[in-house]
Amino acid sequence: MTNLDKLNKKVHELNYVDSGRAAIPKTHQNRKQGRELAKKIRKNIESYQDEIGPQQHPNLQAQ
Amino acid sequence: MKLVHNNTLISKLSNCHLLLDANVFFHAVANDKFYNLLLDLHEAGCALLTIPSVVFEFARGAQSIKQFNWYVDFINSLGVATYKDVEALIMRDRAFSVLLQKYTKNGKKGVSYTDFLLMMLLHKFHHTADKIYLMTANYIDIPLTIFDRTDLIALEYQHGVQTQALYKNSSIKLQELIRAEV
Repeated sequence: MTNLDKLNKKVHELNYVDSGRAAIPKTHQNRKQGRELAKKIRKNIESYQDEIGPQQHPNLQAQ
Repeated sequence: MKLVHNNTLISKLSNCHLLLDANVFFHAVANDKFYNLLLDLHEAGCALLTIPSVVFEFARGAQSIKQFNWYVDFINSLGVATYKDVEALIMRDRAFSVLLQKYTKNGKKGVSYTDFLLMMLLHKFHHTADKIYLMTANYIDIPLTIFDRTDLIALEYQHGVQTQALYKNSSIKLQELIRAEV
């Protein structure tokens, strides 16, 4: 096994599907865990306001 | 932070398919109430779906495998399924692909490839799924000449308001466009 193979094993898998709703996965984590992940990701995104997009309503920007 | 949407949204989307753009995940990270709404939709039987290029856009800030796993786990925490072979699927619908490119020209700049794929899927599964909607905050690149905007979800932030919208295929609009092309 190469070092890259070892790294590949560390990468988590998405819930991939080919088609059809039969394969739709259940949630594996509760809301609290999801919010903890959100906090980590939020810290990771430096220009967070840029990522969620510019203000969409010019009227609101002007306020 | 407020979240405003139609009271009937969850019941309306139960047993539907909902395609998610990358900005949906960014908003779910930023807004706990919106995250909870997505989970409520999933628990009500709404199948949350996305595509690999959306995952790429969402997770491209990751600086390590550990960080990348945060993004993947976050997507999985919502019970989202990712379609593997989206490009192969849409290759069978070349005529609509050309029409879509024609109507998504935003000035000289065309629509992003991710948004193009999402709209192709929205069209493609219209015939096979019970009901399918696209959720995105990108209101500029989704042509209302082809799709209907059915619902709005307002998300309040410290510095303003953002809007997520739901789109669905319109058979009537599509038939009109096809008639004009033939």
